[in-house]
Amino acid sequence: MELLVVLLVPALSAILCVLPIGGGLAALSTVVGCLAVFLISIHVALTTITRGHVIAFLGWISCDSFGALILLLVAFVGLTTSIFSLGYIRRVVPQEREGKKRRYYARFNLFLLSMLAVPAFSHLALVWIAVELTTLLSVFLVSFEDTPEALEAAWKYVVLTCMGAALALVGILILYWGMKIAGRGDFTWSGLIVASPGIPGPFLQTAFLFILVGFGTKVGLVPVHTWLPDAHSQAPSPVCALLSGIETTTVLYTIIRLLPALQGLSHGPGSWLMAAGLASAGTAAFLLLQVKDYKRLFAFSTVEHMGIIMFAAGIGGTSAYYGANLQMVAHSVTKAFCFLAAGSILLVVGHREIASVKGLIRVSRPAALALLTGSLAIAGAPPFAVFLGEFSILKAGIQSGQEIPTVALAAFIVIGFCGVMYHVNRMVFGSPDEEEARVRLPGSVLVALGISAIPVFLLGGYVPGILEEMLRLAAASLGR
Amino acid sequence: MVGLSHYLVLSAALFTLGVIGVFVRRNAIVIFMCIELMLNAVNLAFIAFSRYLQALDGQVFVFFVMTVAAAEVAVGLAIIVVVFRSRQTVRIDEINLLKG
Repeated sequence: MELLVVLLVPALSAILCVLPIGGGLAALSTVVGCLAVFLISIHVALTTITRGHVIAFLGWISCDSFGALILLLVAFVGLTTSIFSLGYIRRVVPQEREGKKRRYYARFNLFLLSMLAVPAFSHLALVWIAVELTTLLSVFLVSFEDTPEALEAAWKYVVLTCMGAALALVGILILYWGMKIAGRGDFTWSGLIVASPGIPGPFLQTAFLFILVGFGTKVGLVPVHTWLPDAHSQAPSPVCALLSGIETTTVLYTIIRLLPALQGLSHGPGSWLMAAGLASAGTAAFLLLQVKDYKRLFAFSTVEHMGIIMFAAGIGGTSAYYGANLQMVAHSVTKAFCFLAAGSILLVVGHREIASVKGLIRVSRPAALALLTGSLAIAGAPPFAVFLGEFSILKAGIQSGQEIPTVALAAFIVIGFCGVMYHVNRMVFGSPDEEEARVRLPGSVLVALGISAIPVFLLGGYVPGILEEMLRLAAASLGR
Repeated sequence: MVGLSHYLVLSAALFTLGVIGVFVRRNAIVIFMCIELMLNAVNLAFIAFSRYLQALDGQVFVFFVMTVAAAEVAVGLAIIVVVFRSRQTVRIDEINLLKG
């Protein structure tokens, strides 16, 4: 029942948003809806810890601890971005364009609904539909600013990710075929694990490769990542936080959930995941050095982190899976914070060029501090959560005997760190070309930055017991 | 007698045509139609499997996929129309503002 409410609340909020009553109601219903979803998600997470799973419709809508972890992440980032949107949209959309504001909030809620549906659905066919809906319901958010660049980004986004979805559908089809050959089990995550010993190995391997490339397109896997920096930089900043922070993570979750079904194979998916992860992390690390747009900087960082998580999933073993899950959590909350910081800078300076932003600390201290903190955290500096995640992944890599790939990954992380901090250092501490007046950020923007900063700081030094238990259960479920 | 393999060969041929079209063609609308061809090729295979394995759920799933594909066409064509209004072209070689 709780899962149904989680899905119904954003749907109701979206309906309220399109009512022609005023932009205020749309914004209010979105924030209240997101708060309700967050609270219910906490309840779902606690229930999965005690009972193992939450079921709304057996075989269709249910989630275990791993699903609840992703649900909680989506709900948290949804809440912070909805609060951020209050001040941001008020500044960027002219007062008289109430309809545009209402459309923004309606699409925001529908996009959030599609992302909540991915972990809430357990039937593989429904999961594919939910992943496809995340694209379809966010395309018009990417093109929201109606600039030629935003339209081009939206076009690339829809065409590449839909092509990926078609490839992933082939993988789902092969799994369906294999399960019918095995002759038992529902077409769900748990049913797949039960049926996997009876599914021929080549079926599982082929299905995995199709799904890896298909959904990998949406995750930003190199070489099909080209849409990601465009879409994640042209969308409004709260949407970028959703796209980079949680959309990529929810889709990556669907790839990782396949792993328990593949563990009986002689040539498992580990080497594919490690190769894809290293290629993504390495390419993104070098691309980070040459970016000219600070939102693209964080977008390329997303490609790098998706690669790191894939690498961890490829290593295999409980400690690597734990590291991958911790990194998913750390990346989601930190990347959302980074994009909210980027959005506040955009409100202050009005453009996205790195070279034109100098001495930000003298123009807006909150924006500068948020950018500096977020960049240090996402680049992997201690004592932030991303550092812990990366450290546990590297440790698991060495312990599993994968020394050379692990050292290569460590080198890419260091290059990525230098790339991010080189640009951010100049933006925050450089000397401004001309004296600029201090700019005040809207209150809701500051509140959203404050709330989203809490897990960024907290998880680096202390992982709460409930979250620790969820991470442990999620890692155990992947280890079969 | 039309067997499962006939459907699968047709499905594979349609899917391959779709993939080739996506990589070879330069018109945004044609590329989108090729993606739809890929989706429908998979739908055909799903229906064939459902029929020959006596399982109804595959056919139900195809209805969902067709609905999503219809929504995809609506969204994709809407974006193409807006891009055309903005740039006066639907050739993807000329839609290249974003680089680096």
